[in-house]
Amino acid sequence: MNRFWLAALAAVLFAASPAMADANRQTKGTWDDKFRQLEVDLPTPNTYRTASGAPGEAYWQQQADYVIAATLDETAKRITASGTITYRNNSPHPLNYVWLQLDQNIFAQNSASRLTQTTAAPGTDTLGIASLRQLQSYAQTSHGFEIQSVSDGSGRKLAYTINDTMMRIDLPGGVQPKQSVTLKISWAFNIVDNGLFGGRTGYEYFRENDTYTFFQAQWFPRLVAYTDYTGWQHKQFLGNGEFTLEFGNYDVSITVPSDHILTATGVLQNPNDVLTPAQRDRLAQARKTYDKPMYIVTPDEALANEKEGVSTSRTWRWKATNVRDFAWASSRKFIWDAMAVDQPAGEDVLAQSFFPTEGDPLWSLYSTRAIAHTIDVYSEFSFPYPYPTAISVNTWAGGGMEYPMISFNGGRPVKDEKTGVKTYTRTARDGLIGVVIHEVGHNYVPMIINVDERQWTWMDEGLNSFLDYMAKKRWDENFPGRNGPSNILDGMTTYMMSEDQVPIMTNSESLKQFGNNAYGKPTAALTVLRETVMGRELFDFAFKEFARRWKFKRPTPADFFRTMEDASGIDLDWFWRGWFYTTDHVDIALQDVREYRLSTKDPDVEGELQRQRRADTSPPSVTVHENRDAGIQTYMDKHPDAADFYSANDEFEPTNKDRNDYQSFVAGLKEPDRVAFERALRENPYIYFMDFENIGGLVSPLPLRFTFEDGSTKDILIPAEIWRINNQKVSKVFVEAKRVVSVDLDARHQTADGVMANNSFPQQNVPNRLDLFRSGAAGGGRNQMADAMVELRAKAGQPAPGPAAPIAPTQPAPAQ
Amino acid sequence: MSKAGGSMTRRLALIAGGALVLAPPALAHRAQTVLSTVTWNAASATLDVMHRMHAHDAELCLAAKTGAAQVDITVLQNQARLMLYIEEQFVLSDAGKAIKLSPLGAEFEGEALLVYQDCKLPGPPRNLSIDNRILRDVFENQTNLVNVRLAERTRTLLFSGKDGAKKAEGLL
Repeated sequence: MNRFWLAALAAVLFAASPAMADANRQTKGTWDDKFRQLEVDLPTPNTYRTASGAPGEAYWQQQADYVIAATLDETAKRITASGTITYRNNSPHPLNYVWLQLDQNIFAQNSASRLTQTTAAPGTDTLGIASLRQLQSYAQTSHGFEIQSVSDGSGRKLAYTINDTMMRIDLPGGVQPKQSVTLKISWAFNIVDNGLFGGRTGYEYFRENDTYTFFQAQWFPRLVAYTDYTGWQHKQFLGNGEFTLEFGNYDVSITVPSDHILTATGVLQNPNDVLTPAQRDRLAQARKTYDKPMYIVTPDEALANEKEGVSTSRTWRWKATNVRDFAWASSRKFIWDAMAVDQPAGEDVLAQSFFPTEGDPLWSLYSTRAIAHTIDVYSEFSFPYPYPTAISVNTWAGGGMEYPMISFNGGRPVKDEKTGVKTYTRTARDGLIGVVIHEVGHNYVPMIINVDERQWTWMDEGLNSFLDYMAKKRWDENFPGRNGPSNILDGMTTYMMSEDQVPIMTNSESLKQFGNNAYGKPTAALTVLRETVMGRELFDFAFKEFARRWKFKRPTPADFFRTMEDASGIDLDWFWRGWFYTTDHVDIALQDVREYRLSTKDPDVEGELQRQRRADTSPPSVTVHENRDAGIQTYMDKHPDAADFYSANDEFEPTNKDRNDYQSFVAGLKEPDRVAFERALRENPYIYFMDFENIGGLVSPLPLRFTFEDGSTKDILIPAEIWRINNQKVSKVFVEAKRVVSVDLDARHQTADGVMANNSFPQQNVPNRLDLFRSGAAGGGRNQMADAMVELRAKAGQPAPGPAAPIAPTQPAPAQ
Repeated sequence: MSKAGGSMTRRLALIAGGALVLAPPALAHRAQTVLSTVTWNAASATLDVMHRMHAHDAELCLAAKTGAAQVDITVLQNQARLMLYIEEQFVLSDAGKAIKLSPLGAEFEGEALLVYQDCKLPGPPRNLSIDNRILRDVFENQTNLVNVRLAERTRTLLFSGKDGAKKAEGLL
């Protein structure tokens, strides 16, 4: 082994030991300081990002403005476009080249995403017809951007290099700080069939009536973010880590068949050219209608429209200010409804939905109302919604994807082929409401609070999932309705107790258990933070401050952590460290409770108490009992003359010396001690020593519920700092006026404690869900299920029934 | 291509429409996962199994499997269909000997459907092996997590892609 290999081995060993990475460590024993400050782990504050978590005095971000003209060829399913990008370099660095995202290239046959795709079937070689159709489609049609020309503002060709989903454009002379560069690009691409390719964009074909909807995202070359913390965001698009983008202003003209209804990010500039007078009138009326949505294009009009077809086209022109992306949807199938949302501290917002007739009656009932509800709740947690509109478009089944002002959402009723009656399940209804809340909610994060999704999925999905959990609970406190209680903190314990997980602070493409890690656990963390650790007042103020500081700016995780502490006055480093940087879980055990009363020190009082205790705990022996029952007299009973002092006085009888000592003690008490002693004697409290053990590793506040002898209860919240010296075992004393008969830890399930069986004293037999179900307490029953299975086995192969009670296709009457 | 170097073309039967759903990779709002727990219940001397899955995923699964346009998972008969499916997809053995799980039932918790199974055993399995294919034949990006807790320690097994059976030993 030569010196090189020895050095390499040493480097590997050094890197493999996480303890070695800590500058500050206990080198004797295994002490792990869970309250260690995060200062050494977070990026060093600088003039761009301060130690308080706010943008610094030299904070900068780039700007990219776009003017685009695009044409949809409906027959060829193809977009042809050209655009001018004005890129302003606000950084202090000269840039010799710029990078653009070509995320449409993820669909190209040779994309890294596609080349690294693996088969789904475990252990067996299987091929679905859908997979086969996708393979055939690749052979028939190419996908991905076709870049036709790249030039500067004066038309001079610029050299460019395409690297999978990114394109570098070289700038002769570069672009200097505080200067702008103009780029002119022409491109085209074949739109993907979303049913075959998935992927947030494309078209949907409705076979039964030979119609289409088009929903276009990642459809133009977008500037890659250039930041103070990572330079160019150079992570390719592989499919998970979504988009990291620059703010800018958009002027977009889109030419589509003249019978299409088109919706997009921004404000329509030429309604007189593309809308009928009736549609314009209804739109004006909708802007003043706050209670429920009204139709701009009615279901009947949409149905009539989709049966026609035209050879003419028209151009819809849109402008959007200060957005980080632009998406649009177009179809002759669209029903269109809208309502106004009143914002107490901001401008009115027009909530709008666009959906094919296949989406009704579900969409007419819920989509636009869910948008309005989202704006109400999210704004309460952050800032008034700053854009003029929020849009939900019905797209692919199971879908849900967010863009500025516009979102693409799945969920439709199902039509019975024989009867033609459309029905939907309760889960489908709740799914639609849930997805609209979530995707419209994404306007706040990451569209306005412009987090870096490709680095940290949790900052995008986690913060938004927390807010959508709050919004769903405000839609219906049992949301999703009648499916039993749902508490995210109980729902996450299985995942949090699992071994094979990664911390929340892990890059988007390296996450294991993507949904649990980046959506569920951050939601649980922030819920615990709000409801238990910080309290609503401090949390809400701090969260709102974070939103205010970073509105239309780009925060990093450290900016969030620091702001939440800065604005609340609470050191939360232990919380971020435990929940975001480790895979510990919450499992605190209440190990023991010991009851005491205060000693009066008065030998007459204490002697009698001890005598009583003796009688309670040590009754006469069974022999004595039996002798008494048999009428046997003892020698001393028969010879009372043999009695002496000890016969009349037991060992608890105080002596004069005892009494004198007590008098001396009382006389010797000085003023404050004497008052305290006398008060304690007067009140005669119950004193409890309680032992707690941290089994899960994650330090947690201790919400305790005392139940007293008289049936009353009292809740006490012990902050997590109780663990700051010893994070494994602590004991604490409680003084109560009334006798406690039981103590419950986390009775309201507010800490995500994974094991409730060790949370009570006296220990309770906490049945798990399965025990409850087995016993029938949860309304279950083994026999019912078994009977149904036997029946099914007997008639194997028959299709499953739909909903028990069909829902009549009632549509709200259009307000004319 | 066979290992011997000669070519060997085999016949591959296509799975009928919908049987293998190519789920869009861009589900921005939902985790494609089933969380399961396998625990030894000393009081009842049973191996208890609980699966937690999104109720809508269960509906999509049954729709794909049965060819029905739509399935309502709140209907007991459909929960039984799901249980039959899970019996095929979630397989346990102890030292090579199959552990036959009995169906207990299912209930809802919010958006989640909880499915219960159990098995009476003389003692906790020492050489437990688990194969979990639930929904993996339906959703392309499905990753399942199983927490095994037979005594004090929890062992986690993840199942995705081409994973076959995995062992959970040394937990007693």
